[in-house]
Amino acid sequence: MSYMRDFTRGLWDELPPFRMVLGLCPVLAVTKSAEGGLGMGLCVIFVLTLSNIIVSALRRVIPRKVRIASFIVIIATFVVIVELVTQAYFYSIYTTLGLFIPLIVVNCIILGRAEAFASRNGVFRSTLDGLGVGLGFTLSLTVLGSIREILGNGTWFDMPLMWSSFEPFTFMVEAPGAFVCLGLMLGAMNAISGTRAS
Amino acid sequence: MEILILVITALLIKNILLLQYLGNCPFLGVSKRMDTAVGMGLAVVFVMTLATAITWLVQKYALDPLGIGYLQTLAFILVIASLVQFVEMFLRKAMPALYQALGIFLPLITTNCAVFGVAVLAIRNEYNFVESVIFAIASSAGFALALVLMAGIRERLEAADVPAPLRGTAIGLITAGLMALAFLGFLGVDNSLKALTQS
Amino acid sequence: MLEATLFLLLLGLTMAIILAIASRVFYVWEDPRIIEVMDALPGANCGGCGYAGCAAAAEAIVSGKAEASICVAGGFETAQMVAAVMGVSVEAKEPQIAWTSCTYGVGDADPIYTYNGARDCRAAALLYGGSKLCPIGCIGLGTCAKVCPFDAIRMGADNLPIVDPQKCVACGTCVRECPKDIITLTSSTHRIVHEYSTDECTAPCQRTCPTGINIPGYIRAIRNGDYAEAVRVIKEKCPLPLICGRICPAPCELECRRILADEPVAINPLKRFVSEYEMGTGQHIQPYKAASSGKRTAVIGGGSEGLTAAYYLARLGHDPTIFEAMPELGGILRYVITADRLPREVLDHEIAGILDMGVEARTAQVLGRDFSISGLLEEGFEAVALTIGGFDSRKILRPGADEQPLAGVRLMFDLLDAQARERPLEGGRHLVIIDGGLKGLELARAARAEGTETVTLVTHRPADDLPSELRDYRRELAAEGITVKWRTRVRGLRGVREKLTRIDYEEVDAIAGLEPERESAPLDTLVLAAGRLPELVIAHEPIEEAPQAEAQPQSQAPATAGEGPAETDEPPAWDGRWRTIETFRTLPGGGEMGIFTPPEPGRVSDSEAVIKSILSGRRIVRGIQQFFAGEAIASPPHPVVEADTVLDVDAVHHVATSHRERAPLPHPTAGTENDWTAEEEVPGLDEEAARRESQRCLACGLICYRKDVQEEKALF
Repeated sequence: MSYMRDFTRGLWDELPPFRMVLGLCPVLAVTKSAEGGLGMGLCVIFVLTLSNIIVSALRRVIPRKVRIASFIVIIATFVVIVELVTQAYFYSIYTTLGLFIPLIVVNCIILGRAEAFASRNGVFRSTLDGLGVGLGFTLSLTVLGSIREILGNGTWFDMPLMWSSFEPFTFMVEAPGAFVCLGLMLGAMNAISGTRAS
Repeated sequence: MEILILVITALLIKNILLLQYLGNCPFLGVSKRMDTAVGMGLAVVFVMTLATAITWLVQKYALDPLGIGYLQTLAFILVIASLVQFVEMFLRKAMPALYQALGIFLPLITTNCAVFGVAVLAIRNEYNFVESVIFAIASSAGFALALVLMAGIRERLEAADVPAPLRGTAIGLITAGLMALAFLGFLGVDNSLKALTQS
Repeated sequence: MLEATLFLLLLGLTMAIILAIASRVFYVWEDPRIIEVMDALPGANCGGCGYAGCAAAAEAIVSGKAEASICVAGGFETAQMVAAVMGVSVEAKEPQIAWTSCTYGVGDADPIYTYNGARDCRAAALLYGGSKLCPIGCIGLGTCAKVCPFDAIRMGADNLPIVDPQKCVACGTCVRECPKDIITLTSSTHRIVHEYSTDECTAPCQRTCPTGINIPGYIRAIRNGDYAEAVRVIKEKCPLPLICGRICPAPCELECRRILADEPVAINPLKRFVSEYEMGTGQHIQPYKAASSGKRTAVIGGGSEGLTAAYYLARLGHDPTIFEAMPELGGILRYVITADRLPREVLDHEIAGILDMGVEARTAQVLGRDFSISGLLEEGFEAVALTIGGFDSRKILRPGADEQPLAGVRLMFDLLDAQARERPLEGGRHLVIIDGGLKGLELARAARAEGTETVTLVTHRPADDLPSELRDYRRELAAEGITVKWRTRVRGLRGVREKLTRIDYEEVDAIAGLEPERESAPLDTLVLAAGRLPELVIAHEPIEEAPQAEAQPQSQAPATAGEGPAETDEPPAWDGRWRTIETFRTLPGGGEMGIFTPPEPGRVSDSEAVIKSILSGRRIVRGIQQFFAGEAIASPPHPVVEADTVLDVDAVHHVATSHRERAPLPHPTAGTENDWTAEEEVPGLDEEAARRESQRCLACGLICYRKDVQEEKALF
């Protein structure tokens, strides 16, 4: 049961980036398109899960004082791997995500999970946690990317979706649209949770 | 002239916070109050400038000659993390007053993607050392500017009648969006600056 | 591959070495107790302690900048835990709660506009300070309730905050957030000796009443038929309601806002009605009394001022004993005011009520003959208040008596008398004459001629206000050995047993914000240009303070009898040294400090009415309470004084006129024609008339008042 919780927690209760409001930079930057959101999400799942595994495996070895630095090095290692792999095999994603692949290093979600969960729990649970949070992150990014792409460009995963006379809201794919769209989605989530709670 | 364009571009036209999507976590976290926003802004200016200068040197004198550019991410993050730690220890000993003011923000900066992002951008844009430093100062000043503006707005927002689900971060994000929209207006400055240099 | 590995290793190693070196070079020792203290604190980060959150507070506690008990949210238990970490002990602090005085909600108060903006007081206050005409009124949008981290405030039906005393921990968040500053933190003992400030909602009658009785409060209680509550409300500020109900000149009625419509409310007759109701029950209705503080206090003089002081000391738990020279308590009330104005059974009932509060009285005890102040201090009284009051019992009641109540303190006419009879003045070695004018100068010269070493004339007045002999010939006077100190007040006297040793001066009119100049000089004889002994409060001088006092630059010679503090005795036995403590004086002029303050040296307030001596009695106790609590003895920041022009209304609307109730005069039918002058000359109101009269009260606030017809809301 609790293993299940470890996994599902990341999908609603602690859904990044809405509930924890962490790791916003890539969320805003790469969600111009659904593809970018999905690509970033997959990269984060990879890094988050693996770094969670390694951190939890090494949690008794790492001295407390230098733990943050150690976590960052572990994360950075996986990020470099992601960077090289995408560059070699998924070049379009590599160019879409650009600077934000190396920036996964400083994504607060990954470091946050390492500090808050992986450094205190076993390998298996940490894996589940990483997968769950990563999946939640991916879903959020994909949804956000889809909304912005459909409204801002009239397409979804580069497939034309809207009617021919549809005039895209360019606003949505610009930076302001990212902020506003995320804010409204966050408000919608709060509203849903609010009605559920009451 | 080019330096001026560089400064204006980094400060306003490509404001890292609002238009480059960098450093958004602290942006929402510490923009609730004016005094913390000012403290964070100053800390970022300080660290970003130092970090960009050092990472530029690491890139040019270590990574490039050795041909191991792919280790950039790892090397930079190591340097930045160590630098922040070092600055924290140094300030605490040498300038306790400054440490009191900025100290609590320094650990936050380690995971501030703006610092890392600007360091990487300086390399990608192929700036020389002086340009890199100026770029870092201007970018971080843009960060501080946006942060302080945001804090001013959010202090007022406290008293505003915001619909319940939007209270807190949600309205903060929407506000940031509107600010970004306003900053988009500086694109016009960019165009006229370009015209100016061409003539 | 190898290069990359080596590079990373090298980089990591370099960074590690740099950081390792840096951590040594820049090592700053951090007290491990900070973490422990932080764990003990509640972590609410409410900021009630004045530090930015619990972490900052923990640091301040460990570095000694803050007390172990600063956490208001955690209360005594947290303080004990913190104290355990720090290895100190804490005393239980009196709990405080948030308190507001606004009584008219937005719906009932006069508006200046209709507010439809954001539902937050801070936003509303940005617009002309809120929608109410009243500058200190509650805006009623509930920001205090919203920000309270402990859910202790809710908004009542009239949109006024209601504080739940069970939940309130006095963190002060509401006080900081309220844009109108109408919430204050207060404790029950603070309220007992409270003085009104201009930031509080007070009715015109209440402001005019010298002792500040909550007049609308007790009239409301009468209207509701709750007479016991009415008595309690009166006794909050006035321990002698029966007496005041008869002989008070009732200045409150002259300021009653009802005058603007018809006749003033019969405020004093209503007071007499409820206090007679209390007397009729044969019981004493007593207000709130704090638990015993374990301190004993002495009050010398059992007149209205002394009775009041004893009453408030008893309410604060300071176990008072009254020492009275006459065979019975009452002073002027008993020995001057005639029985037809103040029947003796009324006086006896009132005094019995005060003794009932836990006041001990020793009568027929003459100061200087039967007991001495240093004797009382020796006996363990921690503060001795001199409230000899309305008449100087020494001179008037027993002419020719030669005992000195307070050794070394002499009234000027003693010296003038001696001079006229060509007897020696006995000015001692160090003579100080306060506010003596030219007569003082004459005495000063005579004393010098007799061999007094130093003679000082002290006045609070500026130099250009002095007689020219004092103003212009100061240098010549100095050559004669006479010093003139202008713009100077006396902060305190110090003595050892039955001897004065030192006098402490303070500059008057110090530039605001600057510490006034202070000095201290030896003294053995003090002359007051007053008709009676001053009101003084005398306490033990703390032993540890003595070296500082001696180290003051102006001190010329060591105290006459002061051999310095004993260094060895443990526990420290009282070494006989005492000092006066300041009580704050007449408020006009902004709460003058100093123990002999104008208009007349040694007067807390004038004694022209019993109600004024009640005020001075309470003010003396306020000083004692602040002294015991270790606070600065001071008046409130913006005290309500008679001279103050607070915003007031000059017309009332929507008030139906009515007549003031009067008690019917008795017909002198029985017996002789002047029978009615013998006992009760004017009877009081009966219950029915009192209830009718209580309806006439407009229940005023600073601006608001009760309207018979609801006014149309102003439309802007």
